[in-house]
Amino acid sequence: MIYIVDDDDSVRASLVRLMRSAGLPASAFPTAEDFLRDMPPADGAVAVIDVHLPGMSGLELQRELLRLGSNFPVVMMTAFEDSDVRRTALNAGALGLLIKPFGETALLELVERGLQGKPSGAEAK
Amino acid sequence: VTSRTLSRQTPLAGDSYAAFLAELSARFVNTRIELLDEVIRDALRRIVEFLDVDRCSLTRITSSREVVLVSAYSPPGVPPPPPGNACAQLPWYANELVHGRIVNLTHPSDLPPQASDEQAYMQDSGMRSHLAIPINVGGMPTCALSVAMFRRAMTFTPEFIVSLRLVGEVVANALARRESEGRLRRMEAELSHLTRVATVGQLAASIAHEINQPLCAIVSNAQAALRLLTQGKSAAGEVRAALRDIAADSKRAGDIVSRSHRLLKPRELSLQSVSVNDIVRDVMTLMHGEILIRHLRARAELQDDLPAVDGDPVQLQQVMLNLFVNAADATATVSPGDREVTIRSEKVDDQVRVLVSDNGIGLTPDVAARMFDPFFTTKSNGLGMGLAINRTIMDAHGGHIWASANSGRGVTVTLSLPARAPARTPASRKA
Repeated sequence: MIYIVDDDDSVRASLVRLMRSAGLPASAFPTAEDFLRDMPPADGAVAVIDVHLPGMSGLELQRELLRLGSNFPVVMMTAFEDSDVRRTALNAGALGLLIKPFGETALLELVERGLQGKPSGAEAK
Repeated sequence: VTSRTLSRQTPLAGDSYAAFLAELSARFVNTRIELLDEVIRDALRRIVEFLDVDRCSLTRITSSREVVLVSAYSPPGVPPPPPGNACAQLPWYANELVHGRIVNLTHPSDLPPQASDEQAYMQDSGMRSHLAIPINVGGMPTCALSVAMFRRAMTFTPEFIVSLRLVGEVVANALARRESEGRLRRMEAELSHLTRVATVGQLAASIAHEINQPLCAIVSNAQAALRLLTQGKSAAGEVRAALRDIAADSKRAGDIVSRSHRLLKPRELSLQSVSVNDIVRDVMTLMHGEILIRHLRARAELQDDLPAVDGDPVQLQQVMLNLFVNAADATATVSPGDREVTIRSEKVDDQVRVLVSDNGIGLTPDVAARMFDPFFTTKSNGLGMGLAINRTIMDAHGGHIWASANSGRGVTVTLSLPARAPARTPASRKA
């Protein structure tokens, strides 16, 4: 299961559609708080999280997941490049940071890696 | 022009000439710059009538030493002066004026031998006498007032010359005022453009964010649609939905580009009926990325059915963007989750107000006193022009801008614009 966390309606809908067209079941949350409230199971799942979310940011959500002891595979994405963000995301174990707009190949590769259960972030350091 | 000068040096027609001059002078002083040409034409006509001459012309002497006709009056039957630049056609004449020398010709034979073009011109046009007086403004001849005789010859007495010079000075000062106002307006437009460019530069990350979001959705939808088509499943409905979303997001990205582009185009003030609420909504859209990046809580509280104002939408947007960025900057010391910027709109009497509030560092009395001064800044990388230009823009709109400390934390900057009198805005969209 692929979980998209993005506050932008268009981005959310398009990524869910893309995942489903690739044969991956997907659902989406508009905020980090919504994701944490549902707290979907990490098994066989990957979270694709936007860095800049209103309220709790994507990076804070990533940290919160770690704090809760979850080993949720996480792919981060952002609409503009920032080396600090990249370092923070990868240090906290993200599979990768995608810069919007990105192609499906980059996204699917990271998602596949997450689904194959590679421990999040082990080689990203 | 003092009355002392007039009474001492203007025996010509005495008091009535003084009254004529005083009235002309008052007209020039009270004239809006846009109507100056008309007032000049009228003044030239009245000079012709008052001094009983056949033609009166005003020429401008430019800083590049060209002598160009501004305006002339000649009654029917009298030939108009040669249009355009006199330097080529009448080189001796133009040269005299450029050097601030009076040209006083009772007869064509008063011309020096080298003035052959001028001799030919007087002969061909039937001109009998001519007087041209260069007028100095700021130590340089900036224009010349001249009269010409065709029906009869005329000897220009020293009194006549003094009288004409006095009129010339009134006109020259009005012309100088127009030029400096024009220059000032151009400089203001240029500065305001540069500030807009700087504002857009500050917002580059935010704008990139706003454009990349729809682009991301477009790419994903296109690739999803391609996959669905290649799979050959009957997915027409889903493909159609993807294409529809692509179209909508393309328009969204285009709108953001044109909104930012409008800010980058150099332009002068153009007033039209505008809805302040629409401008605030545009600002909130443009600032969306900025709000996320800076962890701001931004709110717009817009009063419904506000009257429209007469304004330049791009310049008003620039003012509000600048105030928003200032407000956001002021909250930098507040912890990320608590940074607040609020834009409110309201009607107070016959004014439409926009209030931009933050809960940031606030105002010291020293800063409050100087914050609208040019080149005053509290930011390490600031130019200090933002608020000064905001005030210039508000002045041009007949409005006001002021800042006050909030009762709690932070500052509120208020824009106040006169409500457009007759019609009200069409019912505005809900915020």
